[in-house]
Amino acid sequence: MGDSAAMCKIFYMYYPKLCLYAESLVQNKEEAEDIAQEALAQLWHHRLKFAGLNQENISAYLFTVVKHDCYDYHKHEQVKRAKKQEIINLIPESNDSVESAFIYLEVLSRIYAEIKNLPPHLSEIVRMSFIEGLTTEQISEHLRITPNNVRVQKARALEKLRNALLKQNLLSPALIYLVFSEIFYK
Amino acid sequence: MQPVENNISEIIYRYLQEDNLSEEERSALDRWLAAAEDHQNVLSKLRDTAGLQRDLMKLSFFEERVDDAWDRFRKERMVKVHLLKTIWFRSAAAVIILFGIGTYLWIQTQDSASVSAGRRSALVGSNISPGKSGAVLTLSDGKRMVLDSLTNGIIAAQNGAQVVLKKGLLAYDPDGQRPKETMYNTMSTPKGRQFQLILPDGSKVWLNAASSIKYPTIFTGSERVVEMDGEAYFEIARNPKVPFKVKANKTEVEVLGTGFNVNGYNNEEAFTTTLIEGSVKINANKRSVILKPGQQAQTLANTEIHVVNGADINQVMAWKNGYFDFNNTDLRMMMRQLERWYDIQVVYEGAVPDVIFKGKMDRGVQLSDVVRFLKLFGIKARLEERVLIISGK
Repeated sequence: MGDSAAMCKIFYMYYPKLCLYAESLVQNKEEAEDIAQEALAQLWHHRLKFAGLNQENISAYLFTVVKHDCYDYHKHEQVKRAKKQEIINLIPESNDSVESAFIYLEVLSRIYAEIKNLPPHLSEIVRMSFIEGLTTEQISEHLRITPNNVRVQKARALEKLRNALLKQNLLSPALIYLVFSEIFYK
Repeated sequence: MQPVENNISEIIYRYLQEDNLSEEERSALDRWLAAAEDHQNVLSKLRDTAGLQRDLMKLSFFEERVDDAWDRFRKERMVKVHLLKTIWFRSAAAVIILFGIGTYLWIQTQDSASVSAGRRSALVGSNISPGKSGAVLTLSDGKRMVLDSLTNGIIAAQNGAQVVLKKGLLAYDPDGQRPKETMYNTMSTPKGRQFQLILPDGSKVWLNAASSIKYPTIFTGSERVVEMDGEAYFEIARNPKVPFKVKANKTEVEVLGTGFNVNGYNNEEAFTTTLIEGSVKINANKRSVILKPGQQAQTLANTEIHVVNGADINQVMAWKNGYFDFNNTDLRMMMRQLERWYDIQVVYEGAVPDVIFKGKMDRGVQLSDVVRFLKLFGIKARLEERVLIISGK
């Protein structure tokens, strides 16, 4: 595999996770994307040095670079705010290590992948209701199917979702209202 | 056994799915959870429904953008030149451009010069290449020698010193004899070349492109005097008994032990001396000023010496450290630097675009890449032979 092909694979594997990690630290999606791009660019630029490294080292590197860049971003923002004499916000100091954040995101993407791997029409409905938090009405409007149809599909999707975690969450008190009230009571 | 981190997300995932974990997996999970205080947080975060939903939503947002992001990455980051993000407006007339070219390049060039050089030349074709190491040495008898970074060894014996060339650096090793008269050598760099020199007293000089320095083959007498024009950075060997003086244009820099940069290009607005460390005294137009580290003295023709505090040292030293620093540089200033490094001539057709640049560029970037990025920012630039034509609107 050439360098570019390998980089492509790494990019697709890490970009969303790095963005999410950066977003959790800088609370700004656009900035988070820039930081993720920059970290991956660093990896690309230093690829000769990384030649012998395994995936574990690469992820540690990428997440560490992102963390540093996020801190730099905060420092920079503080200086800007200080100049404007605004109140200086403290950097949101997360107690979680890079490793914890990484493991969390790994599991999160597995869940995401699971939703994606449902049959397309079911995946879409779970996405809309679970990930985007849309109501049955909004989904039915969007997909141009009847609200009743949406409910049926949702129930089918839940059956299919073998991920107990997801099921558990969908069935949790917080979401019973969102999902099941619609399925059973409307 | 695989390293735990590789495995642990898989185990946690299956644990949350209520899959039956093997005993080994179960104990691996327990061990991992106990290994650090924050590991337990991973599980609680995954069980927090609202938080999980929020994060899944965000993840999906980024997942959906990955194709575009990859496209952008491939185009902007995987070529030698890459841009930083912002273009913004300073006033209606002046666009400020962020023109950043990664520092990675020079790191890479240093690390693997041969590899990247090979790749680069395969890619470039008819490109105008950036400058490199090289100079011309004029000996005291007028004989001229071309210096490059490939030759090594003693290249001449000059009046009291052996002239040694090693890896892009010319050094004078005094041979212990005391010559009767002082003889001078001159090192000069054409456009597109820079070189390093160690003077007979051990002082180091970095000579930028289109510059020259004249010095004795051995320092005798009560002071060490060199003459230069163009731009050079000096690190002077301390010797309080024999002061070091740099003469350039009508300015004299008297060194009191130190590192400093002298920019005396004729086509630059001011003659500047920037002190990095130590102390220097500037004598010009019958006035004199002593600089402190971080200060810059600017001498304009026949005016008094203007001292700037807190000079941008990184910018002043950029050329010596292998890159251009275009922060707060206007187009003309930038082009003067490109002319000297790429050995080109810049011609303006119509008004000169009123832009200020931001960012850094590696000195190893091909000119065609520079032109490409100028265009990307709406500056009409084209290359005809070795002439870069910038046309206003």
